[in-house]
Amino acid sequence: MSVELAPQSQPNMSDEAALLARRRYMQKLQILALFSFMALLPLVVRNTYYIHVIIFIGLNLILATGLNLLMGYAGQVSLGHAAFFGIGAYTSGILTATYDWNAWLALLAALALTSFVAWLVGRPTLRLKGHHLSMATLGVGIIVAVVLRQWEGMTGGPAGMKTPGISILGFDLNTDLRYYYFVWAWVCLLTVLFANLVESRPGRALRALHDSELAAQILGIDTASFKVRAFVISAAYASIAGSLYAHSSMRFISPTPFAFETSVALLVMVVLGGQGTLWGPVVGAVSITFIQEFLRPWAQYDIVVYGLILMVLMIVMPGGLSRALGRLWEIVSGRVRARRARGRGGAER
Amino acid sequence: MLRLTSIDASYGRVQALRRISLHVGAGEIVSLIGANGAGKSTTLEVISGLIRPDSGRIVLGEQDVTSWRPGRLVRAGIAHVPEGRQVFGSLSVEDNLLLGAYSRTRSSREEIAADLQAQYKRFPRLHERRRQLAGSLSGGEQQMLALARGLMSRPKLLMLDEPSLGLAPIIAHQVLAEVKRLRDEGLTVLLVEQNARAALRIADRGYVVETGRIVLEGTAQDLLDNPEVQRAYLGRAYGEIWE
Ligand SMILES: Nc1ncnc2c1ncn2[C@@H]1O[C@H](COP(=O)(O)OP(=O)(O)OP(=O)(O)O)[C@@H](O)[C@H]1O
Ligand SMILES: [Mg+2]
Repeated sequence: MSVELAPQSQPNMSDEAALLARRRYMQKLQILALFSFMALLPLVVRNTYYIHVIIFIGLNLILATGLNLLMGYAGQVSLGHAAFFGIGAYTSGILTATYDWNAWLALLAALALTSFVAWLVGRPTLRLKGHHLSMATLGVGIIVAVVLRQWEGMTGGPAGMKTPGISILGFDLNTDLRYYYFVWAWVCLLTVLFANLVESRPGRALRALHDSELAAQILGIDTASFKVRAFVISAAYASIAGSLYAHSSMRFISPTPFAFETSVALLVMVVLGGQGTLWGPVVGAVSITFIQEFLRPWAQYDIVVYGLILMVLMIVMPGGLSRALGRLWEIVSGRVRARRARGRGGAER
Repeated sequence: MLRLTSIDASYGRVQALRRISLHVGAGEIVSLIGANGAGKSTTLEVISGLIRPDSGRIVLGEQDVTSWRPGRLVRAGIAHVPEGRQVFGSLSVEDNLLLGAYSRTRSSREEIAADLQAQYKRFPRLHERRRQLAGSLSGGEQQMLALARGLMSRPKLLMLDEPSLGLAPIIAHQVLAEVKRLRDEGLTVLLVEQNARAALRIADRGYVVETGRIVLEGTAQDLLDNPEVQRAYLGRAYGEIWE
């Protein structure tokens, strides 16, 4: 090994650190750019309908980011993520509307309850090898959907329930525009949290166990507990999105958005955008929300469209849109050629 | 340094190991040879805590480490380089190496950074490719990476599972030469190989495993000279490659 290979350049630590710092800096810059854009967008987009749609994009983005942590980093699939969205929304809705709780306290209670449910489901299933979590979450999705419809005394049943708004320090978030900024502030916070998490030591451990669970275990990574934690965090993200949904300017929740179709839509967002990337959920949430809006008159065919998207994706770009776009950008900027040349030079024997 | 006493282990109802007893002395290279499915990998997995033995004892140094968790065993000085390399393909070479130090919770950043540089010095090829995804490395490079990742935990005992598997003979030879060098630097090595001749050439002692049992043990030279071993494991075809 070292016999035949003369060192080409001496390792230089400060160079490494600088590069890593630069990458993180660029990422922060990109995130900052996106949110500045979102902050300025209402100056141009004044139509309430579009503001509404963009609020939905924000909620879907929170949901997709959470699911991306589970799918793209922990390598597990939840087929019932809409259920956690629903538990969050209804816990917030019921506690504030029926029991007069403060909306922020209700949000925290919803977060705690959802995380607990996820932990209950994840702990036994993620200790086993295989895809038991998918089956279990599918079950959770069905149960939650039935409970929301049948427990009329509590949830209002299929007719839904009225919900109060939310305010920050006495400032009522009672217009669409205010709610827009509120939701996107959450998106910003949760995205930055996510970006920091996946770049951290636990984030690296998560990605490692995705690649080789055996090797991760051998190195002392408690793979089962990491998977459970990733699942609980992804459910917590869904719960926050649910609470935000409950207090939106519609002032109304019903079981429909928390059914199986939404779980599938979330799955498609993550896969379409590209699992395991920072930008995947953004691309996925934007495209799927627009498709949902576009298909609104034919809502019963949503699921067919999702099926088609999934099929086509798996065949033409299994890495997702954001990776494909990234590659396109690299080709355009000539980076691919440069990298190839460097790679070939290094590989010569 | 390491002693297994009468280890039984099973996968569900399939018993994979039957009363395995073996020991590895400090500074030795001990080789485990045997056919496919004999139980070599399972033996290593029991030692590194991935599989709990049904019965028997594992003693490391003075301590009984039976049924310790993998992380604790890594901290106690056991590194396991698994069969098929199992590098983290979607992570960079450098991230792979840093993960090798995952269990070193007591080491400072500086110590780990210094060890990283030491691995780069040992394997300059990895330094050249430190930012490349591990999945894009060649087979030989991945084996170097798996080895270096194992070394990042600063082991006393290095366990290698078929490090020459799927490598061109010349590369395989270099890998084993590196193993020998590591031993000369003071490491203790437990080496699993199908390539019995190559393994016994660098080993001090060896064990022959058949269907979960140890059927023969001895110095590497004795095993090389043993007619049974020659017939079963040192067939001419292999021999010619390694001559
Ligand atoms: N995950 C598993 N589940 C069930 N049985 C297993 C499992 N892994 C190994 N076995 C069985 O245990 C026995 C020992 O397998 P092991 O992998 O230890 O053999 P090996 O000596 O390493 O073989 P090879 O040279 O092919 O790597 C075999 O009979 C095998 O079928
Ligand atoms: Mg094996």
